[in-house]
Amino acid sequence: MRDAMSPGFGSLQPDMESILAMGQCPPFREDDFEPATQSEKETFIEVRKSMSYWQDAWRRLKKNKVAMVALGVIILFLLFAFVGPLFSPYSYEQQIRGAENLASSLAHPFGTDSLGRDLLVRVMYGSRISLAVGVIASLIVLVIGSIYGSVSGYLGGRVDDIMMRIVELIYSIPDVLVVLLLSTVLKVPLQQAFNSNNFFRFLSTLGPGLISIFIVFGMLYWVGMARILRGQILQLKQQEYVTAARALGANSSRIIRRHLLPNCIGQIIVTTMLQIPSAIFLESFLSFLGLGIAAPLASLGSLCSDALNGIYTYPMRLVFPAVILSILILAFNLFGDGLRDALDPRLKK
Amino acid sequence: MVKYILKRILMAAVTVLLIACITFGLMNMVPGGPFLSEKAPSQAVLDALNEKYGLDQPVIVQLKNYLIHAAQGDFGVSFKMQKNRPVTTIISELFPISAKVGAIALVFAVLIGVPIGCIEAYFRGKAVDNALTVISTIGIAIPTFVVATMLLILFGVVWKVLPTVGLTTWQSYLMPCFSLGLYPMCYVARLTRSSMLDAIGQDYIKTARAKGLPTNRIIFKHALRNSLIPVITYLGPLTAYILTGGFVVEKVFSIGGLGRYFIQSLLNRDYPLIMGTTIFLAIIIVTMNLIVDILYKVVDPRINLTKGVD
Repeated sequence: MRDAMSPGFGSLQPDMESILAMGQCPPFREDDFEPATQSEKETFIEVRKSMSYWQDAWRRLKKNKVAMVALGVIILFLLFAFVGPLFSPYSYEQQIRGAENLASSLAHPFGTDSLGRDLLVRVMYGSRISLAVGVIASLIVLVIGSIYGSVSGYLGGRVDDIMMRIVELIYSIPDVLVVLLLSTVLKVPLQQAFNSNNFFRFLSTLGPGLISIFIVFGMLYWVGMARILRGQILQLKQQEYVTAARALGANSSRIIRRHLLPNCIGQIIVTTMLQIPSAIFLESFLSFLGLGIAAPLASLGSLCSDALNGIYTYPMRLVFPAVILSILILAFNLFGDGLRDALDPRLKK
Repeated sequence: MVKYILKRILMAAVTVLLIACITFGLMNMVPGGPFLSEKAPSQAVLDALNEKYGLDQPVIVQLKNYLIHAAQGDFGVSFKMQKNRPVTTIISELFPISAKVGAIALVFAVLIGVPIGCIEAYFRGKAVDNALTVISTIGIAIPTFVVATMLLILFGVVWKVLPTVGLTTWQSYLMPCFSLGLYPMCYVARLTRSSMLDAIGQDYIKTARAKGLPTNRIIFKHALRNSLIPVITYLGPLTAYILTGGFVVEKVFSIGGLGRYFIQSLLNRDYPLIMGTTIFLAIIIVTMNLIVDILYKVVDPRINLTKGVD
């Protein structure tokens, strides 16, 4: 309880007690007016370690619990997909006679499918494929999108107008329809290319579905990245350091490469990161419809699709890949969001 | 305004034309004609067939003919799935089934998603908001086919309370529509929440509060009107999502709609049917985007004010 004589903070009435108390400060000592000694000065100088952009971002990221958990989950998945198969006694295409349609057991934690293949190993390989598709597709987007966007933003004017019109046009094409069409159409020509040319042979294991996903990402999906980068570059190119670089004789490509793109690195990383789950999403969608990865390889989507046939008798066979796929996409989404907040705190709401 | 609408319509027409050309070009890339089968017909028969369907002409002329026919609503006849039936007839038979499921899912997504977003914004930072945000984040991450198959396992296989095949009774609509609408619903909820939070910070909300209006009236009337604008712009992509998501849902629940048929025609390589359906779906998506673009301008007068009268 406050009494009337000492009004609270923000009051217009003078606080009489504190005014009266001002006169009662302790008396000065004799050495209070001496110049400070060297040792005294040194205690005032505080050397703080300078923080780079990455250290700062990492510090912010570490505070974000959700993003750190998501990062942990992603690392676990990487181990699961790339190290896990080493510890399994089975291979993904190995058909074990007499062990068909098994339920979960110690020997086969996820059970086996109708051909007697161990599902745990297949899910591991499936996650490997899904992860690889996500990373490769977003790298394609990264390269094409950042080149297109930075050129468009840097040149500006007429060129920018035309380039952005093209982007708008591509943006309005329904992507899934084109993926479906491409994966159907490419099947025969790709098969011929695989057979005729040694260079293409190593691609043939992936199947036309996966390759058409990459092609579609290269054709259609880079527009988002291009738009974001163009916006960034439009702002950055007005800055003095760009003028300075130009005055020193740097050409356009050097300015873009050395000065503009490194300053967009946060945006580039975040957009690439968020592209990974969307690529995984698309791949599983295609594989589920039977247009994605080719047998005997498996992805999480095609495992779900296979399991759909026996859903009434073996529902658990569908649950494992489906749950893993969902967690994987969720973890990438959450980590991407956290990364955005860490790399570009201005964007945080 | 008229200029803007005309520009948009032109842009949409160019997009549809582009898609038609891409589709035609892709279908032409496939080696081997449509008449190639196990028992190879004689060269004379092939020539006659090619002449009959105009396949002996240069590609560019074929494209022109196809586009002219397509513009008149003639997409040719099916080669394999339903031999010699016009593609347009097949589409008009099957599309209403997909459209019914899709429309219910769309209405469900908006009617549930918007209120959820409002509730989240109303209880910002509290337990209700956090719980709903977690749910909508998860809902965005789960692919449609996972939702659909999980529902099928739970309600169709384990508890056996809902029909799993086809669309016979009203109960059989529940699972397909919910699994199709879950992702857009969560997305709409997130959109509404963030735009609602933006709106709540604005001056006119402070005015309303200062006038002494009750909070729920401020949120659900004054703030909601402005927060709906991003939701409207999302309706275009939402339509595209529902149409393509229908492929998966119709496969899982064995619904004989256009989506399932389209996938089957892709697997069976029925080219005229594939082309016709692709162009048809693309026209719907592009038209929806066009309507949304125009609606956006109509609903939000601020956009016109900044640009002046055109």
